Amino acid sequence: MAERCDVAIVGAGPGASIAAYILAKGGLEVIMFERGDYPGSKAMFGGVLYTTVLSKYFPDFPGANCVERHVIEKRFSMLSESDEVALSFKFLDFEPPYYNHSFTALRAIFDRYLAKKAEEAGAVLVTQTVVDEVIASEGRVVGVRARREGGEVLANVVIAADGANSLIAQSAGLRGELPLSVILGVKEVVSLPREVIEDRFSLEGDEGAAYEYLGGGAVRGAMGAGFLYTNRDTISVGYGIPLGALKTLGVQPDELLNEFKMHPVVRRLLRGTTPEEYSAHLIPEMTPHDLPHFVGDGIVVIGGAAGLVNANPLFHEGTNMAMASGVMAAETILQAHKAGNFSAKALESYPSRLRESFAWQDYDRYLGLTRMAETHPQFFNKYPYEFIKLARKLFSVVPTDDGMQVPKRALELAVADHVLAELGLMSLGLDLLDAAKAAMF
Amino acid sequence: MAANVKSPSDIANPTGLANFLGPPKLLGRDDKLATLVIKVDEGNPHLKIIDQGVCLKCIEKPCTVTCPVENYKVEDNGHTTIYWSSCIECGTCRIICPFQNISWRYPSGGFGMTYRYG
Repeated sequence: MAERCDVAIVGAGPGASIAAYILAKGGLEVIMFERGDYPGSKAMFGGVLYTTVLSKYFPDFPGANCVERHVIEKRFSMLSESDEVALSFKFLDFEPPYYNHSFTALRAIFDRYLAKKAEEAGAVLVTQTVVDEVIASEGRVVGVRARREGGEVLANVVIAADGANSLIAQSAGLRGELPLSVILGVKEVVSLPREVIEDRFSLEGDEGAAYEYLGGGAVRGAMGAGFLYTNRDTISVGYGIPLGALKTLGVQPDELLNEFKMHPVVRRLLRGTTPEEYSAHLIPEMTPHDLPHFVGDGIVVIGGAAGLVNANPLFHEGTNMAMASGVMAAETILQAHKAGNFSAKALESYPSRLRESFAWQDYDRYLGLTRMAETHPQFFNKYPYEFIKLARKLFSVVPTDDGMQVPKRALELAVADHVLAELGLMSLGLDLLDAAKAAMF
Repeated sequence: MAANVKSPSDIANPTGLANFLGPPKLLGRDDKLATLVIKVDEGNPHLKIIDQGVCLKCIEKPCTVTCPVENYKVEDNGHTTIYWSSCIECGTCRIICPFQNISWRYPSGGFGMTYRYG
């Protein structure tokens, strides 16, 4: 005799837990399956958690030791092999306790905090249990099959919250194979005393910094980005690169990480650090064509499983979109529960609300830019280098044979010359036009 | 020089900052893996090559350069070996294999790797 519940959730990440919390508060019987020893034990992200949705449900989270530092500096930089040109934004007057709703975090800590909240609300968390597939009957999902003795659990609705690889969405026929646009995130958490971090990054108390390295020398000119985020007494350092680009590059991902860490610019920020943990995980960046259907009869797909990420390097969001989708899915299921109907049609308000929300709009907004980046590798392997060369020409202090110095006018002309001769104004103009079009439409 | 004026070399390093100015420590593949807790489900590989014949015909062998823990090796006889016990469950190989020739599932509950930071 199979066990029964109202809602079976596969996964116990941020989207799963917030959904479980809302459903349990609404009086439903909820079982949440986690394949690792504890929630977050198999999860990894770059490192910044955006807390708008979180703070509405758990206003006390900043005091609960579940996040690391609030981000006061966002810094974007381009690297060549030896040089850097950077733009830094510092926001010092956002107010506590949420500041700019941007906190560095570690998933093995944060996910446990949020799952605990769901458990306290009455959801049942089952750890060390893999769910391989859904149970289908007459074309609708009626439960899940966990890989253990008597592992069949029947449910009115299944929430596929099993992350980027989502075998559940796939087993339910809601999507095909993942495309090569999916990004591999590779990271190390390295330790450094908190005073040294605060001194090195100009931080006071629990302030944190988020550094992004775009194109150029970060990952050998490939379409990808490096990052460095300060935690309390560790730093998250790593990069993301689409699998297709990684395959073309032909370098071992672990070596590429060491290379990034030893970049002359990055190395200086990581002095004295000791690696504590290596990790790698997929980021489900894909086109609408590759996305799963968000609902089926008796099933909804949320968070990374649904491909909800904004992988644009200016923003790098995902866990907030997961939590938002978890909220909307749970509220839809509560309504469906009242009506006693769990068909795809009855659950349709989840995808329609999702499409109205920032989670879909932000995903949709930057698709054009991402596609543009794929067809214009020069934004990664040419322009950053050229731009740095120009800056270097202009700011080089050049002695002359007679013991004097090259006048600035001559440097400016050299810059203009380089732009005309090497860069090609015509192609640069066209590329910038393409970028502007992609950003606007 | 007055007795109470310190020369720069006399100024103590109160925070021990000098201990944290050396180059970042780098780890090779094996030592990177050693930072992870991995419980191996002995005798129950969760990853398998479906057909070695397909691997023999594969020219690119992208699995060997994209696995973040370098678990794919081509042996002298041309067969591909998966060192599955050090898998960190990312899913890269499943997507990168041009012939979908890898039978891929998660390790059973309680097995595989555990992140302490994540």
